[in-house]
Amino acid sequence: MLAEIDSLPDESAVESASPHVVIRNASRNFVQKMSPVEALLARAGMNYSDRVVQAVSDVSLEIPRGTALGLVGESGCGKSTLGRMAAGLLSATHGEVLVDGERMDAGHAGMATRDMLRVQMVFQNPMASLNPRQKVVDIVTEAAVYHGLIRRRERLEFAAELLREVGLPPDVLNRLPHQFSGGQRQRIGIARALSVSPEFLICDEPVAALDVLIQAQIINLLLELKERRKLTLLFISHDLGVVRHICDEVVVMYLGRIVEQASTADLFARPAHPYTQALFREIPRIRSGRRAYEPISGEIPSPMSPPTGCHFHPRCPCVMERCSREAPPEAEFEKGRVARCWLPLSI
Amino acid sequence: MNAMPPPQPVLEVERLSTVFDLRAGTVQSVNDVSFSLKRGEILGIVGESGSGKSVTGLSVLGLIEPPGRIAAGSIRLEGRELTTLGDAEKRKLRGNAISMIFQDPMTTLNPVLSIGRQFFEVINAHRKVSYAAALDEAEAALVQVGIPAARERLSSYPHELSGGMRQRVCIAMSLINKPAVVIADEPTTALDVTIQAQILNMMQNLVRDSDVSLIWVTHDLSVVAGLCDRVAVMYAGRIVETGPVEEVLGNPRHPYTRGLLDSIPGDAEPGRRLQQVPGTQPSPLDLPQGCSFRPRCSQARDECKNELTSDQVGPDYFVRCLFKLGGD
Repeated sequence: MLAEIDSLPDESAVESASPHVVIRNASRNFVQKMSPVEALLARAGMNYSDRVVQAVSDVSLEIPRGTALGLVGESGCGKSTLGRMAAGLLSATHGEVLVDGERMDAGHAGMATRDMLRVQMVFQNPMASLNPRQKVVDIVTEAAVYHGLIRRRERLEFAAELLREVGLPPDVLNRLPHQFSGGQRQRIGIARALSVSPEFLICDEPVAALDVLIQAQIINLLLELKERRKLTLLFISHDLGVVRHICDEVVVMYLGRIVEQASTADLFARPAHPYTQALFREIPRIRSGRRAYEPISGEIPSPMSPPTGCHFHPRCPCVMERCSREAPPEAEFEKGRVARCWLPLSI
Repeated sequence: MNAMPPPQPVLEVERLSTVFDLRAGTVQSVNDVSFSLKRGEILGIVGESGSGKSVTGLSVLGLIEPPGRIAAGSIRLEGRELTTLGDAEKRKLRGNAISMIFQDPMTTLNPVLSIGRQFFEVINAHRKVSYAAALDEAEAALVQVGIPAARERLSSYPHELSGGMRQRVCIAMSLINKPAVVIADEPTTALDVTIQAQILNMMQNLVRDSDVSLIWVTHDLSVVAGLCDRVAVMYAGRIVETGPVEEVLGNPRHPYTRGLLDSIPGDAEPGRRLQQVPGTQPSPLDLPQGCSFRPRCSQARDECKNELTSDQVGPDYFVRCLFKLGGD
């Protein structure tokens, strides 16, 4: 029934081969058109133009097969946009997304449907991403039946097997999404994503809306599934603790750009970019106890008009004159560690 | 409960029960809850959704509307009983001696009035002031919460401010009439971590400088760890454990608190299964007999079906459990 899993290449053989997922120089702009009045004024020579937001700018990353990459940042940093580009839900303005060496970004001609099934997504709010009028059995089998992965008469058995895998009892097949708790709904969302046997799963804040006890259950489930199905994960979250627990590698984004990328162990041991350092310092922790916060000042600038040079320079504690003029390149400052800063590890 | 009453508590809540009479039955949202708050103290009330933490805060403010009602217990603010007050008297109190900061500042602020105008309304409801004098006071309050260009901001409208700035405005408004007690209901949940850190830092300073007492309602134990003096952990309408923050979070005595702490990734070894508590919270219409946590508790025994009392295990430290983990 789940034959695709067996046909996965042997893991050891792939280790040395090219990474499973490659995102190369991907950018995404959103354009807000001028109003008709503004367009007229612009034609009359006045200073009006379309407003362009660069939500993701020149992002490159690689995810080896069977590993989890965490994408971290605050609201507006472009992490969800990048996730949607990786899932093929948004096209890239520039650059490309490759899964198994094949282009996956939306709108790219010649993309086979069958290939697209290898990439699936789990969303933050399961109530909004599940059709409220569809029974669970339909939610988790619709795609597999449509794409001919299973026969229609096999669907009850198929659905029961999927539900068992995500930890739901099989007697809920005929219920509707509103009859479940938040954690159970997220399990249904995960089962739906798994129903077409994806190899690459994108999780966009899958536990952010859940209470902490339920969050732990879902994290355990994702860890189990990653192991059992040899999934490659792109895990988007603002919660560093969750990312640390699940991911092998972490990418930190700020205003559309990658500011730092490292293995989870390295990043948590020695964050290099001042923004990453600030994030780590300001996450409240149980063990650190009561203390005086030393927050970085200021707020995230509007992505409509990002600061010149390094986007972080207006809030950076160790800003230099050069930072406002020149954006630092993404540079490898020591083996396996990349940061977009003129002075990595300066604090 | 109050074997050792702390010196002059500002707020005393004793055996409070708040219920909602629904068609499906009566829901005990807050069940036999007692706590007290000293001057200048920060109390964290922690729990998952549906644990009754927000309803506790609303009960203290007298904001429980039918079908909800306060079924039993007493709430005393500076010695004055609040549960028996009429609507007009409650109105005089709210925003004055006791005030609230809500989770979502966009729905708290009036979208069609300028910030200055809203400050004037809050002040004028309790004291006769001129509009100009109110603006001066408001400007000082905005400076105190770290809003740049405070004078100009008074003529701004809420939609012109960022989420963090809006929450600062709400905090300034809640403090403008020098309340004795402020109740904050998840005020930083919707904010980014760097902004959350700024607000928590500011609240610590404000409490230290102004002697106000603060109740911080949240689901986030790590915020409590960084901010509060004492914590009350709620489960299914009851306080299951309450005491000094370092002790409760450092060495929890109730299996539920233990479960909460173990479920948080961060200190656990990466990649390992997290300790998890099975099941979900019971329906408030159908609470288990005795200890509500019993069906999910690994320690549960037959005795747990009996009604439990909240036992004192240290100064200012109470636990509602027969077993009390990690005892001395």
